[in-house]
Amino acid sequence: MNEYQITFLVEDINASARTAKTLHRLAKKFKSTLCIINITRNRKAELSKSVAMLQAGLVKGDLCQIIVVGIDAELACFVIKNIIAEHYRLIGACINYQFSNQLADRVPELSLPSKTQWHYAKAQTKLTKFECLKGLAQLIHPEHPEELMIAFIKREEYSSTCITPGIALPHVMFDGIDHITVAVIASDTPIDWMSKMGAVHLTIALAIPTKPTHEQILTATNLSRNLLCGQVAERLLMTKNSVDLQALLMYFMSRLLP
Amino acid sequence: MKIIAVTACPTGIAHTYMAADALIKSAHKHNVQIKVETQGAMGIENQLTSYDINHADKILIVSDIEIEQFSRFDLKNIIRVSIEDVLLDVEKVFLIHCRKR
Repeated sequence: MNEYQITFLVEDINASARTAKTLHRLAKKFKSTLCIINITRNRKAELSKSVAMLQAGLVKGDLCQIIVVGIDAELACFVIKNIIAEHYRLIGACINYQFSNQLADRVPELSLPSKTQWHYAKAQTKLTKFECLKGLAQLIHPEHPEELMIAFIKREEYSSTCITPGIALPHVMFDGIDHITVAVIASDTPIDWMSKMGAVHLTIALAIPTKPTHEQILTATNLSRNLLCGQVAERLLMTKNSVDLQALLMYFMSRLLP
Repeated sequence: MKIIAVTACPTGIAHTYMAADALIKSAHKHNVQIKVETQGAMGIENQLTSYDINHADKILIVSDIEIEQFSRFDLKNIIRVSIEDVLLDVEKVFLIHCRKR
């Protein structure tokens, strides 16, 4: 059964007190299971329990998701989204927002210390590892993708860049770019990444300049290091909305989780 | 048990630091005192001193490339592990290589 998510940032610590009762009451009205996940602090609680918001322990700046699984999940999300939007900074607030370079303008809490370019594609067909790397190179460097693709392949020859089950992080330092560039390909069908960790569903390509600044290195390493924290990898894999996915990635690049 | 480790990878922005974090997070569960030197894009960080090297029971080299200043180490105590093995199952790495016999 599909999981639906509402992704949001906590701006006001008192919002939990104001929403706890309403969310708890609403959660009991749906057949679906509703959970709140505090991704920053690796906490999860079922909203049907009265102490859920206390358990989640939301603090200003925390990145959270409400996840809904069940037959009326879409309807539950639709209803709860309005309450969340009133009290928290909702990420995918408008249906036509795209994976874009402007997300930080709309949500300044997600802005990164160094300029970053963003690209996203959803695989429409079954991909091989080579096709996926080619696709990522085309997203990042559409004029001359060959060189970048070779760089990705050379990196894979050392060792697979599958860093956690389901997620690959092909990463290179590349001459042809001035800023950090992130390209994501999400695939419903598994891609054989020739790794002991198994196939992947999400590839996050990172290209950074050959002479990176300290900030650029920190931004890139924050993402990779956070991938091993708590529920980060699971949340990235489960989040299907591209804007929410970009928000998660930007959040994980902007700081090291506690 | 005292373990020292060096992590390194070709690009130095992902695996080096991920492997170091994985080792540090798991070490206490196995009653292991660990110090990890990272050789990544930010250069050598948390560099191992000769005191660390002389007092270590084992030296873990977690890398898919040749590491810098390899000659510092006593070859007898060196254990080479791939980055993938550490990321896949760090507990197994500790169980196999970091037990007192």
